[in-house]
Parts: sequence; structure tokens; C-alpha cells
Amino acid sequence: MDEETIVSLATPAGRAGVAIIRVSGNKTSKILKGIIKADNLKLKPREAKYCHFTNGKNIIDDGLVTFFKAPNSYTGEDVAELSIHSNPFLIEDLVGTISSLGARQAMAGEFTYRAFKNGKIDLIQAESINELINSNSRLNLQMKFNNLEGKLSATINSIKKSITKLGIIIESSIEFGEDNYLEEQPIIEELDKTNNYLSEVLSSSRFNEILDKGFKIVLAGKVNVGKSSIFNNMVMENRSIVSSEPGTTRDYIEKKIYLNGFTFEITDIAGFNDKTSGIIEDEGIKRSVDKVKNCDAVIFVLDASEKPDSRDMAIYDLIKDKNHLIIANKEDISDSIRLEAFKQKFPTENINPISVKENKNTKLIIEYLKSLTEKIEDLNIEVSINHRQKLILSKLVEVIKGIIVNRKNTSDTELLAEDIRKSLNLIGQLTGEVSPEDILNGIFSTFCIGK
Amino acid sequence: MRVVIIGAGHAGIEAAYAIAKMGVEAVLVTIQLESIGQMSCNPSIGGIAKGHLVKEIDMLGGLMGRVADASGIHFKILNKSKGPAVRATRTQNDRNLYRIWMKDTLENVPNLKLYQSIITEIIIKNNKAVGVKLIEGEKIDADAVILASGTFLNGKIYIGNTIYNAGRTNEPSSTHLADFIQGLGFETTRLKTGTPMRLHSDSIDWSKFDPQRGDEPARPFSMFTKKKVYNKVTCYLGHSTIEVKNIINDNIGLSPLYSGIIEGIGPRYCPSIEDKIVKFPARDRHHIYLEPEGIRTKEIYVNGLSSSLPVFIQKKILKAIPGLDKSIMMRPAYAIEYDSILPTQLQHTLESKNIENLYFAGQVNGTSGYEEAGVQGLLAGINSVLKIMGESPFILDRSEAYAGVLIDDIVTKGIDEPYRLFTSRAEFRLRLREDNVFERLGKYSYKLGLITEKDYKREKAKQNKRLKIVKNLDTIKAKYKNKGFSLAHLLKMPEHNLKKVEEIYGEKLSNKLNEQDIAYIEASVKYAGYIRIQDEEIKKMKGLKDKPIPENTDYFIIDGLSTEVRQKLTKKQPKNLLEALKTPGVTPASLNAISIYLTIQNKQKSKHKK
Repeated sequence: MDEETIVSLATPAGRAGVAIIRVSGNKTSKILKGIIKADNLKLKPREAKYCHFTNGKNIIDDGLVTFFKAPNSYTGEDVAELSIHSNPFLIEDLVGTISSLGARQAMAGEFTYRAFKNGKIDLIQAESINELINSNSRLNLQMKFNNLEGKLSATINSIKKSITKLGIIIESSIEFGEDNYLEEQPIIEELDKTNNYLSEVLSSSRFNEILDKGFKIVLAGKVNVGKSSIFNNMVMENRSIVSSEPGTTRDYIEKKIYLNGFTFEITDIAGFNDKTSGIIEDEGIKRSVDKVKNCDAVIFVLDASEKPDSRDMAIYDLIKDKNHLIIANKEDISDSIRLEAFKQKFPTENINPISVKENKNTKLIIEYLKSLTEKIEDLNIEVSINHRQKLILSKLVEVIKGIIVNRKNTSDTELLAEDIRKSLNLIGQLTGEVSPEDILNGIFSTFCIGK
Repeated sequence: MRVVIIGAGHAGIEAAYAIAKMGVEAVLVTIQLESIGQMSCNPSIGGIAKGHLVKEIDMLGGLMGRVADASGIHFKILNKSKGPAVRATRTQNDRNLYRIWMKDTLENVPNLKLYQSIITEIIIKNNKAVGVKLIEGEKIDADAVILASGTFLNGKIYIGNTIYNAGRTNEPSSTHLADFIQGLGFETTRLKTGTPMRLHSDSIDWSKFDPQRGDEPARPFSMFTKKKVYNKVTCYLGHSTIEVKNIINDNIGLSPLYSGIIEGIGPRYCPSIEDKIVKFPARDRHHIYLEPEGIRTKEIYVNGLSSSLPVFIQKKILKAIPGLDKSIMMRPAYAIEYDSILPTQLQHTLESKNIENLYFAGQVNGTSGYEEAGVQGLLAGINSVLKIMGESPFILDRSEAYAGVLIDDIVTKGIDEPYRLFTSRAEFRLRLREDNVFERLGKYSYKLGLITEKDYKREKAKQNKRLKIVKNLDTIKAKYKNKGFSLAHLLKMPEHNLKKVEEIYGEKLSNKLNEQDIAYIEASVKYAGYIRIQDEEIKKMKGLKDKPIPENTDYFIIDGLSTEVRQKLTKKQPKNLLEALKTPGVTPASLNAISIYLTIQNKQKSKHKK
């Protein structure tokens, strides 16, 4: 069977220490050669080997590779299972490299489907595949690429519009040799602009940043409200410190923790610790303000045993427009009257009393951070694209770049038309509307054809 | 064995000729023998995508290309400045000569009988076409029947308020047959087309128009044409005026198109002048091409002024066009409304799905154009013979011929206006070229007995010569800008053509290359990367095509499909996974669900057998 080679992450995203990426198909051996950096690594079927994975330029990670020779594999085809550390950035890099070597993203249930097709599993097992496919279409629904009212979706639509217009001009010049009276230059300019934006989104967007560096969380509060013990508590709970580095300036310290497959970079802002004057004019303060401005969310810590004062209010003013969680620590030495005072001071807020000392309600901080990853789509539209979409978008950007360059220097109209079709196909793979008749209909409604 | 062909237009001719050559008796019945091969509208063959079709007809041994050459009076390659895939041949033809050449050729074919009569009925026995009844009461027995009746089914001509039954101006339409076809349960639809007026050449002020000359030297369509062809006339280009726009706007109510009398749907790509004015109000002028109808006639075809307006308005319009203001009309423009069957009732062989051995070809299937008709006639003819001889059908894929694109489009998607072929309808446009028609179709044509061994060997030798040069381009190196390149690499650069590469190399690769050879060689090199990607696509598509879906598959018991998809598939009843995928709304995920269901079904079946 001459099937395409497929690749997919086999483990749930990020919940475990190890991620397994599975490749299946006749290009598997070729792909392994491309991603394993080793001088004389000899792979034997069904034997795990330690190796380094590479993207062609850099080492991505070290891990294990197991090769299964057809037909003695899960799918009945050549299969490789690659174990690496479960980090979305590493996974994306490795899956992307594998795709560039000729595999495509597997559809949900496709490995199992191939296993069934090649007689590796029986009917009862196969029936469960139908469910998988059902869930696949639900997943597609969830993508709701068309309904997303975000910049990215608008960008794709704008590109689609410009490309279709250009297609109309080019196809009508092929079919009818008609003189154009659609102005072409503005279309190209618009296309160039949107494509550059898309390219930027893909290469330097918050998407990559969050995958790479994680969410930026600011821990804000006066000195002695228990920020460091809160911090330590979070780390203890999760026992997964990625790094603990001293602050790059004396103004704040940063630590990273790892939740739901995402990194959280937590910054304790020392600039707010000044006792005498609240917020003073200082370079350090300015940096702290910047930190708050650029973070994804703030955890604002109050002292439940004291009355809220002007310093608390100053901090609150700074963070109130950010996504935030307000906690009142030292609940153990507070009382209901004091807590009531907080409610009056911050009438629109939900104040969460906790006690780090007695380990009471501390879980809610972690829950809050986890909730951020779930709301990732709302946070910023760019980050809601998945690996598959990202691969398609990268191809699209390349094809369109080619179209813009070639429109200037070539008369091979029919090749340009091919590229336009290719880009519309790619857009169709994202938005689910592929309609080859679009251009022809566009020609008829735009031009008066009739020689 | 015998096949009866109803209608001797462009479809009927090619059908009869192919059938006779394949060794089966062809009886070609027409209402009027003088009208065999009549060009009802434009005296022209070919054009973009249509020229491609003519080349395909030619390679499959058909007549259109060679008769177009023999009667050609103006030859032009269109899209010359663009790449080889979209270059196409177009000829102006002497209308009378074309017709005479066709009749003369057919009269001399053994196994082919021409007969003038009106067919009133197709004889059906056990759901099988077995002959025809003629208006005189005679019967002709047949093993298969091909209906190629063009616009003659319930044809009705409109000129203003004047309406009369006709298949073409002053030729009777076929109402008996139309009723009969509907009686058989075929769904039909009403379509409309039109033709412009003809003017007397001496009454035109030619100085007001720009001459459009043919290519020098003129290149023929056909591989069978041995004589040199020449340009004998010049065409002329002019424009309509704002006065024309005003006249039409003031009198639009007199057009049966706009007064609601004509219900048929007309083609968007070939609108009447009133359509152009109404639909594109921002344009004050429209192209008008003046095309001579032949050598021994003064009639001039006014391309661009097709209309259904009353004659006195047509005359007013002419008066408002500089150069035509004193023109004398010889025939008025008219619109014609006719019945076409819905082509989704046909198989890819053009055989009816319901009635065996009954084939439909040409304009009756809702297409427009001589070339579209011709290629359908040819394929219906070939397939009728294969069917009655018990051989497997001849179906061209979308990736190997425009003929394949056309037939697949109409039988799977259906039509909602008269269907015309465009190159953009082909997914694999780069491989469907005029220059590589032998490579695409030569082997089939020879195998089917449509071309002789001599023809095949001659074309094969030409092809081998081309392939050798393509190979040489890969191996020969040359210095360019102080670097070494293969000639193929140099040719791939957008700014280079073969001539330029030969200049860089300093030597000619062959002395005997004609334009088509050069186009073939350039396309082979320049398109290679694109074609490789398309090849993979084609392979994938073929894989899906090879997976049949049994008849009467119940889509409502297949898990994982949306109700909408279930309904659409139930209505369409696709024959294989590829047809299922082509159904609007069917996603790769739903295709998977169907595929799994079918695999499970098959496994269960084979278990039962054990």
C-alpha cells in the first residue's frame, strides 16, 4: 500500500514527563535518518535506543527511539516511537522537523484505522474508531476557524479575498485575454501587507513565546504578606522547578514552574517592597511597572491580618486591568471582621482568603494558573492554532511570497495561477471551504465576457 | 452490428466516423443532409480550452481538426505570450466549405450511411435501446442509439415578438422526439443561447475597425493535414457605443429575455448585447469583432451583438455603431431556447443510467460549443461500440484529457447554464496541453483502432525525438554568468526559453523543431516541479477511485456522518470514494468514516462466505 507517512503526538499534551511521538508509513526509516544525530546508531526492530534528536541545525532533545519493522508494528506499517521530554516547544520542533521530511499530521484515529485496515486489530476494536472519528469532527467543530473573531481569522480572510481577486484577474487573462479593469497594484500591496503580518504572527507571535517561555505571571504585594512562602508552596506542590535563577536585577526574582504542559514564569516584584513611601520614583519601580504591563496575569497578595492600606491600593491601581487573582494570606490569624473590610475596600473583587502556613486553600492558586491555559483561546487568538494549522499557515506564507515576487518578474501566467490555486487549497484546508468554482464565478460577475 | 446516430452536427459526425472505423455500421440520421456539420453560430473552431479539445479529437482520429484546416481562412495561436499549457489554436472557417468537407468526407466512409429523415421514437425493449422509428413509418434496428440532437429538442427561436419552432433558423425542430424523451422519464431543463446578425461586407466602413490578422506562417490544427494552410481573410475589432447602451436601455422591454418570455438559462460567458448592457451598466462600450463567413460569400458575422431584440431595434443599434451605420443586414440576430437533458442521468461513457445502449452527446447534454459537442460524440461513439462488443469502456481521466474534465464535470456536477470548457476547470492544467496530446492519448487511439499504425509510428517517432532533447538538456552543461549549469537548469529560469538556452550553449540542439516541439520541450522542463507535485495528487485521487461504494449503501447507519452529509450522499449515490469526496460538504473525516464502514462490511461478508 502506498500510503502517506503520518506523524502525531501519541501522549496527551504536556501532562506527563515524557512525550511519545509516533510515525507510521514507508518514509519512517528515511525520516529517522533525518532526525537522529548519531554517527553509527544501528537501529534494530523493537529495541529502544538512546539518541539525540535534531532539527537539522540544533539538537532538539535527547531521548529514546524504537523502530518497528512492518508488518510487526501497531499499524502494520513501518513505525517509529520517539520519546522526548514533554515540552510543547520541543514537541512542536520535532513534529515540525518530521513533517518537513515528508510526513503529514495524522488525523484523529488514523493510526488505529491503519492498524485495522492492515488486519492488526479486530472488529470490536475497530468500532471504537468510529467514536474517534466522531470526536474528530467534534474537534473540527471546536476549531471553528470561521467563527473565530480574531486577528488571525481576519488575516486569513483578507488573504483569501486578495488571492481570489488576483486569481480572477489572472484566470480571466488566460481564458479571455480581456484587458483588466480591476486595479491590480492595490491588491498586491494588500496581499503583501497581510502576508507579512501572518508571517510575523507565525514567527514571533505570542504563540511561540508562550510555547517557548511560558506564561508571564507577576506576584504582587507588599513585603511580608508572604509572597515567598506562597511561591515556595506553589513549587512544593508541583515539585517541578524548571529553573531558579536570581533576578537579573536586584528589583525582582523570577522562577519557573510547569503546569498543564505550559511553563509559568513567575516574577516576584521587589520594587513594591519599599516600606517608606509606597511607590517611589526609581528605575527599579519603572521596571516593575513594565513587568506588570507585559505579563499575562497577576496574583495580588494581601495580608489578611492587617487593614488594607494605601500601598495595597497603589498596587491594586496598577494591576486591576490585568487578568488577576486576589488572595488574602494569613487567614489563620485573621477574622471575619477584617475580611469584611477587604470586601468594602475592593467591592468589585473576589477576595480569596488562604493560609500558606496551614496549607489552607492554597490549591486555588494552582487552579487559577491552570485555568489560564484552558482560556488560552480567549487570551489571544494567535495561540489557538495547533501544529497542523501552523504547518499549513507556514506553507501558505511561502506560496504567497512566491506569488508576489513572481507577479513582478514573470510572464508565466499559468504557473502563477497554479500557485494561486495552491494557496486557495491551503486556505481551504484551514477554513473548510474549498470551492474551485469561486474564481470562475468571480470572472463572470466582474468582467463582461463575451467575445 | 449497427449504431444509429440521431443528428449530424458536430457530435453526431464524430460519433458516426469513430463507429464506422471501429468496424460497426453507423447510420447517421439527420433532418436535412445539406446541414451536416453546419456551424450554427460562430464560423470558427478552437480557442482557449476548445483548441485543446480539437487536438484531442484529432489525436483520437476525429474529423474536426482536419476539416477546420481544410476550410480554414484565418489561423491564430491564442495566448502566445503566455506559457505552453494555455496556448491554443483558433481558426476562422468558411462556413460552407466546412459543411461541404464534412458531408463529402462522411459520404466516402465505408460502413457509414447517411439518411435524411425525422426520428419520432427510439425503440426500447427491456429497458434497452434497440432501434428507431422514422416519420415515414420505417424502422431501423440498432444495437445502440446515440442521441445528438443539439438544439433541436423543442427548439424555439425568438426575435422580439416573433416566436417560432425551429432547431436552427428555418430548420424544423424536433417536437416528437422531445415528447418521447420526456415520456421515457428523462429530466430535462430549458436552456437558451443566441447568435448575432450577419451583415453585407460591402456595406461596412472597414476603416473604422482595427484589423486582426492571423499568424504568419499559419499553423494547422491536425496531424493529418499535410497541405500548407494559409490566412485568406482578416478579422476586425471595433466597439459598441454609449448610444447603443441608450437604445437598449430604452427598449429593454422588447427583448423576450427581459420581458420574461424566455425562461431558459443563457451562458454567462456568451451574453447577448442586452445582457451586457444590463449586467454591466458601468461599461459604455463593448467589443465587436467582425468575422468573414467565408471566401465566396459577403456575409459578415458580428461577434458580440447576439440579441433577441426585434429586428427594427437591431437595425437601430447598427446605426449607432461607427462603421456599421450604413450596414445592410442579411440575417437578423436571434435567441434560441431548447431542451437539454440533465447530464447527471448519464454514466461517464455518456450511456443513460436508466436505459441501456442509449447514449447522449453534445448540446442535448447541456453543453455549448462545437468542440464540446464533437468530443462527446466521439467518446459516445467509441463507448457504444465497446459496449456492444462486450469490451470495457473507454473513460478518460481528468488528469489526462480535457475531454475527461468535461464529461466528468457534466455527469457528476450537472449543469446550471450551457456548459463551456475553460482551462481553469482542469485541476491539472499544466499537463493538459496542445503540444503533448500524443503523449496523453496516442496509445489509446492506436489501441482502439482510431488511428492507423502508420500514423501512430510517425507520431511516436516525433515524440521520441522530443524526449531525447529533453534528456540531453539534463546532461549537457553550459557556462552562464561564469558558472556551470545544466541546460535544463538554465531553461527553468523564468527569463529563458529554448532559443535563449541554445544561444548560451552556442549550438542548436536540433534543426528540425517546430513550434509544438519547442512548446513540449519547454513545458517538460519548466513545469517539471509542478507536475511532480500534481502526480502525487493524481495518485491519491486514483487510490480513492479504486475503492467502490456498493449501490444502495445506507448512509444513515454509518456513524460519524452529519445529517447533511448523509442526505447529500444518499441523493448522489457515489460509485466510489472519490465521487463521495467530490460531493459538496464531504470532509476527509467523513470519508474515513465511510471507508471504515465499507471495510467492516466487506470483512463481515467474507466471514459469511466462509
